[in-house]
Amino acid sequence: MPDFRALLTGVQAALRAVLEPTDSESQMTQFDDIVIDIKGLSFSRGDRPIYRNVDIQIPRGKITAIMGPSGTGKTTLLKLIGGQLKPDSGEILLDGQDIPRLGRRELFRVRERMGMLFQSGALFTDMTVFENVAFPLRVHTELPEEMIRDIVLMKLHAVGLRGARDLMPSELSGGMARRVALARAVALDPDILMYDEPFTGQDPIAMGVLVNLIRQLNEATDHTSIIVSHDIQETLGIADYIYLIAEGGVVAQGTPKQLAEADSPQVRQFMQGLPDGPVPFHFPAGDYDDDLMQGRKG
Amino acid sequence: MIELIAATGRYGLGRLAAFGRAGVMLMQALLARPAPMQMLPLLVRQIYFVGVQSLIIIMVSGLFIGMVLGLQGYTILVDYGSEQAVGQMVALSLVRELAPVVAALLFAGRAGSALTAEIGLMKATEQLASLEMIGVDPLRRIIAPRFWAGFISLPLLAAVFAVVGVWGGAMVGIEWLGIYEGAFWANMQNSVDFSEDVLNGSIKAMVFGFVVTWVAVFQGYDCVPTSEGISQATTRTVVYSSLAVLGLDFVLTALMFGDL
Repeated sequence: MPDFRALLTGVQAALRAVLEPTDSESQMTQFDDIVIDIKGLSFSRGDRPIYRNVDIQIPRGKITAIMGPSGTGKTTLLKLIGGQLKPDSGEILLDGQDIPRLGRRELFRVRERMGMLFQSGALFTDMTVFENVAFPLRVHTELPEEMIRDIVLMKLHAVGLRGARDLMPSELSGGMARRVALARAVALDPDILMYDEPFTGQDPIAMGVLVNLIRQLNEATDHTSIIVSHDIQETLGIADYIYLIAEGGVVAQGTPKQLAEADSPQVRQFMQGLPDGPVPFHFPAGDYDDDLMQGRKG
Repeated sequence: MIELIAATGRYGLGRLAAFGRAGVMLMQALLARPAPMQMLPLLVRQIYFVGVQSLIIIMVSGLFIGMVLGLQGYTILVDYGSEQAVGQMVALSLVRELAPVVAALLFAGRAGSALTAEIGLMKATEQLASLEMIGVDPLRRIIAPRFWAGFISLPLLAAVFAVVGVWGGAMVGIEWLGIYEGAFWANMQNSVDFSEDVLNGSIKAMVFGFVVTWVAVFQGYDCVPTSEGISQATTRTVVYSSLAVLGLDFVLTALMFGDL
């Protein structure tokens, strides 16, 4: 008899998992080691709410992707994690430290654990490639010059640009600039690496190079990666876990496989790139015929 | 009517808030614990960009203003037979007024606008944000050295302006118009007082240096990071700092020379 009861609870659990794939209660336990724990986050820009009471967990040592249509505040989320913006309410816990409540000095100390790859690369335009990568080392360590040189050359070699060390950022192509920025972001071997739209505006070759680099970096060092992107194929290929964000909250989450098989119309519209669906193609407007006829009244 | 009052109020509040932000930024930039060994090379570099590269425009303008002063002074004073006083007039008007004010206006146009545009572009290209994420305070790394460079450079530029101006006045007065050289210099020497004129002029230049650089770095730091926002911020730098210089010049003059 006890066997039957165990079977029943098993079936119930399986049913619940199938029927409620985005239920956060059931997802909560699936990461055994969480590095960033966002609880009840709300944030608004002016009158426009960006996030309403959002919970997100980032597992340690994995590649987590934050995806969603443009303008849903994906980059904002990275800035919130980096402490560059302060939420209206909620907690952002990095190993138990609540980032919005840190003082200026503590915040700068915590940021030494983070690396960020900006959408534009954000290289310092008045320094050579070498000096850009050396910059975090010079500021935060007191390593001798020979060692800094070795580290910089190793990082540049990893992104394939050791030969470009003496160029200025203005002499680099977009893809090269982003690779240099990646080398700079990993110069201090951060625990957490955040990528803001790493694939946007890259040609297919540069894109492939970047995808491989991100994956290799994550495998070689065991840091946590957070990728913000709307490039579906590239992100699905490397992410371990995906959060899909829209309308101020998480609309779906799961492994790439789970999301590809999800049948919610919102998820399908985004994953398959359909022009019309829950996210409408038309900006809100009055009736089309009425609008056209109004021009005739002259 | 109510709307007009509300709009005025909103505008006033916006201005006040911006003023408050400017004050907070200045405090944080100045209080950020300076690391002298890191700060010094950055400061020297900025003094080169802000100060040394403004030298040509300051010297050329100083020369012409001194020459014009000599010429105008001569045409008036010669009617009273006191053309020897041209030296005195040129030196006093330069040291007390024209050197600090005109140098500050030129500085706002040449160096202030460049500072605003540079910092604004750094903001637009996420360089400031990426400094923050690397764990470096941009107020300390970018703003503080630029601010100090402006504050140090302008009084020196004003001094250069005054010296070149006096030389220009002497060139016109003595070489061209034939004022007796001994009287020209002696009159100047007798009438220019160190604490009354030179020191007060230097204080003016320091105040202007403070205000112009403050406006310039704040407008860059606070600008909307788009090409339109940067162009507006650059314009605002020149307009606000010019107005501030002229207004403050009156206040300072009233305080310094009002009871003479």
